[in-house]
Amino acid sequence: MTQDANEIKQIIARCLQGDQTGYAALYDQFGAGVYRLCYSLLLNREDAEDIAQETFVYAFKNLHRYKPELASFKTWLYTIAICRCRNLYRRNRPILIDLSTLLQNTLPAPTADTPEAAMARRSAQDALEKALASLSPRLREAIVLRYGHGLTYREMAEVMGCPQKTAESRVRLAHDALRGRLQPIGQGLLEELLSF
Amino acid sequence: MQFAACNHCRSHLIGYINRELTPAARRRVAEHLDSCPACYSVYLRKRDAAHELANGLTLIGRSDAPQLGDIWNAVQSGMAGPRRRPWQFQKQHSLVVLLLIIGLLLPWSFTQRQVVLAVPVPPTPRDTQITQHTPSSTGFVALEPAATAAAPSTANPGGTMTPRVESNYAPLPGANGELNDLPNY
Repeated sequence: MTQDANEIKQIIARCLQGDQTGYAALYDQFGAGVYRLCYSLLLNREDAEDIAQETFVYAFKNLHRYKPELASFKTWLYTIAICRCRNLYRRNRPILIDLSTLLQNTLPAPTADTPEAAMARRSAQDALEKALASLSPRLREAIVLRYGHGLTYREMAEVMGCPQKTAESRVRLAHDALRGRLQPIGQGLLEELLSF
Repeated sequence: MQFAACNHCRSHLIGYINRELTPAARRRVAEHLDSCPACYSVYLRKRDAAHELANGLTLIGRSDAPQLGDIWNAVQSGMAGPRRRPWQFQKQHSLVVLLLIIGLLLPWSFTQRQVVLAVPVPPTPRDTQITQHTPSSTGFVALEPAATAAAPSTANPGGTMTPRVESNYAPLPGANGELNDLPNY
C-alpha cells in the first residue's frame, strides 16, 4: 500500500471515529477532481456542482461501507459520481454546453503565454468541449477517465463497471468518434495516439 | 526479428507512457527504445500527444476555490439534512400522479354519468314454459302447457300448442292401430 493510500486510510479512520476535520481533509484532497469529472461528463456547471455535492454526501454517509482492500478511495468516489451522472443521463436531457463558460474566459492564461497563444489554447479547449458533448455518455466517460484523470484501464473498468477490455475498446471508439470532430491540432494528437 | 520487436514495442508504447506495464514488459520496451531510434522517435511523439490531450482534458471543468467552497457548504448542509435532488424527484412524481388522477376523473365529471363498476350481475329468475309430452293418436308428440318452473302462468290456462313438426322418421308401429297386426310371439 502506498503512502497516499495509508494516509487516506488514516483520514477515513478519523472520520469514522467522529472527527469532522477528516471529512474536510478528504474533500480538500478529492473535491476538485470529483467536480472536474462531473463537469467533464455533464458539461454543465450547475449539474456538476449538484452531482459533486451528492457524491460527497453519499460517500460521507456511507463511509463505513468503503473497503480499502477492494478499491482505492478515489476509485470508489468516482464510481459514486459516475452512477449519479448516469442517473442524470437517464432523464433524457441533452448535453448542453454551458454558455457562461464559453462566453467568459474563466481560465486565466499562464503568464508566459502571449494573448494569441492564450486565445488559441482557449479555442482548442472549447473545441474539445464541444467534441466531448458530441460523444455518447459511455464513450465520454472512457476518454475523460483515461486522459482527463489518468486512470489505468483496470481502474476505469472498476469505475465504469465493465470488463477491462471493454474499457479499452471504449477508449478506442471514443478516439474514432472524436477523430473527425476536433480541430486539426487535436485531431493530430489523436492520430498520433492511434497510429498503432 | 527486428520487425517483430518494433511491432511489440509500438503496441505497448501507450502502456509504457502511462506506466501500466509490468516491470518485465516495461524493461523490455525500454531496452528496445534504447536500441531503436525509429521507435524512440515514435515514443516521443506519442508521449507529447498524450500529455497534450491530457492537458486539454484537465483544463475542462477546473474549479476555483469559491466554487469548491460553495460545494463544501452544500455537502455540510446535505449531511445535516435531506438532500435536495430526491425531494425534487418526489415533487415531480407527485405532480405527475396528480395530473394522471385529474386526467382520469375529468371525462367522468363532464358527462356526469355514474361509474358502473364491473361487478357481475346475479342471475334473476325468468318465466319459462315447460311443456308436457302427451301421446297423441297420430303418434306424434303434442306439446301442452303444464306449468312454469317458478310460478305457474294463469294468463293462458288452456296452454298453447306448439306447431306440428314434420318428423323425419316413420311413425312407430302401432301408432295407427297397426300394433294389433303384429305377430304374437
